[in-house]
Amino acid sequence: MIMTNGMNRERPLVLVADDEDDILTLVSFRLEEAGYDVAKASDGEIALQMAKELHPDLAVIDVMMPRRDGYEVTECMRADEEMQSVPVILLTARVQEADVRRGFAAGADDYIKKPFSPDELRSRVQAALTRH
Amino acid sequence: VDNGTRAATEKIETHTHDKWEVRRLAAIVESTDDAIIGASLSGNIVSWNSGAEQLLGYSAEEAIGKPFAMIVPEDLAEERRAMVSIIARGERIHHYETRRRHRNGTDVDVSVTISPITDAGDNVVGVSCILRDVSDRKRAEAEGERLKSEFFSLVSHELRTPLTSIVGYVQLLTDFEDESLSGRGREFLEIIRRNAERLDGLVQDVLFAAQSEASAFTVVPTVVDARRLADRCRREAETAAETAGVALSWEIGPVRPFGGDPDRLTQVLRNLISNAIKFTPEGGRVDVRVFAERGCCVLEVSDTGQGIEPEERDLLFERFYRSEAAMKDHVKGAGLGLAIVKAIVDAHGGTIDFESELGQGSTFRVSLPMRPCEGDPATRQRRRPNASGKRRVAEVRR
Repeated sequence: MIMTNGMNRERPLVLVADDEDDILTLVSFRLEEAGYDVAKASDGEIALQMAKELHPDLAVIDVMMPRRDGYEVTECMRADEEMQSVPVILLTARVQEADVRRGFAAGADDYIKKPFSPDELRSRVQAALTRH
Repeated sequence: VDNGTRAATEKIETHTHDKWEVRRLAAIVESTDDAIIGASLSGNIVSWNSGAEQLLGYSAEEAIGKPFAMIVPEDLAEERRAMVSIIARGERIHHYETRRRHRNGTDVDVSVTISPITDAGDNVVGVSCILRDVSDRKRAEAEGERLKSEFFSLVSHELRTPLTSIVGYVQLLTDFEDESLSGRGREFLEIIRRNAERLDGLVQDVLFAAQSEASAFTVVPTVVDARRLADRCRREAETAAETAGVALSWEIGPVRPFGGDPDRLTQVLRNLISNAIKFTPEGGRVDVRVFAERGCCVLEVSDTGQGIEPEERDLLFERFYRSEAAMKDHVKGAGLGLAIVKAIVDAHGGTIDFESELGQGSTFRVSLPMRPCEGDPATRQRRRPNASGKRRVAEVRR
């Protein structure tokens, strides 16, 4: 049993949010295979609720989602005392520099651009968890 | 009627005619929407029509007698001096786009035409200056650029999302289901992967071209090691050269590390080599040279391809331009490679040029000024972490 984010867990819990089912499945599969537990959210609103309830060790959030986009989810997490220390990696197909700046300004720790390689996903998730 | 009376009558008629002519011209000057301003050689305003009042906010009473410099923004003082020396030589300036200062302190985008006013002896005694308001056009252009950029961004997103699934699931099959695949199955999967990669490259190029068009893309300046730059292109280039039956040679001279964006500059070299290979027939050769020369790092790529038509010289760096040779030989590509190269080279303060002879080949040459590296003491003090303390991204405007 290890302590992750103050919770007793066997493996670190990663919250993954994406409104594209195929990508949600893909990212979750890769993370489970890399040794993480995964909680899946299909839009920004659900992601926020789950982040509040589950206290994940890390969140991988897609930028363009219905209800609340990834920037908004990140901002809300940063504004909430309980969630503000959860590292956030944005998953985005929009890689214009303005989008990247906006992500960092919202409080994201890193971003992964689509399409991504499994190695990149693994190493960025691991690095973010190690930093925190 | 005697001669004296005739002469006197003609003089009166001429005088009357001149008077009417002057009035007619004055009416034209007053009725135009363009600002028409007269200035003396000493730089004072001597005439100011209603168009000038409309455009710049000062009435004629307020403006006449004041220095012309009052309507020139401070940051354009140098430009004004250059203009004065052109006019002093008796030359005109046609439709030059710049800014002028309104009475309320804001700047107005204008197109300027300036002509010297000469006396009977052809001496320059003053200048006439016509200013046309182009701010609406400028605004429309900026809005057009913004919409175009937004459109490209959206399209790229819509294309990238399914691509992520294709690439991701092909990789999953390779990683976890490899044993259940037949040899042909693996072959087909590799074809899907290669094409998805090609499509992704194309989407990236389109997006990059849109950003460079909007004059706002970024370079992340760190340390560029020329040898590593070449190494990063080598494998892909060698595979492409082998497939095309083209001999490829590398000559990497000693180049000290310099400041620049290694990812973007790799893209420059990669695009130049890929073009050279694509346009060189089987049995030809491509030579890549990287060396230092007069404070610049030079990337030079020569080929023994068909060469470039002289009339295509200026079009080659335009986005989406496909050369005659590319069309004729069905060379794959979107016509973005060289436009991207030029945008990156410009952002590094460098130059790109080429020499070409039809039927003999071409040599493309990029010269990059070797700026100090980001970690150098000379530049370190100018660095400031951004608000979040994250990776620094410098904005480059063309």
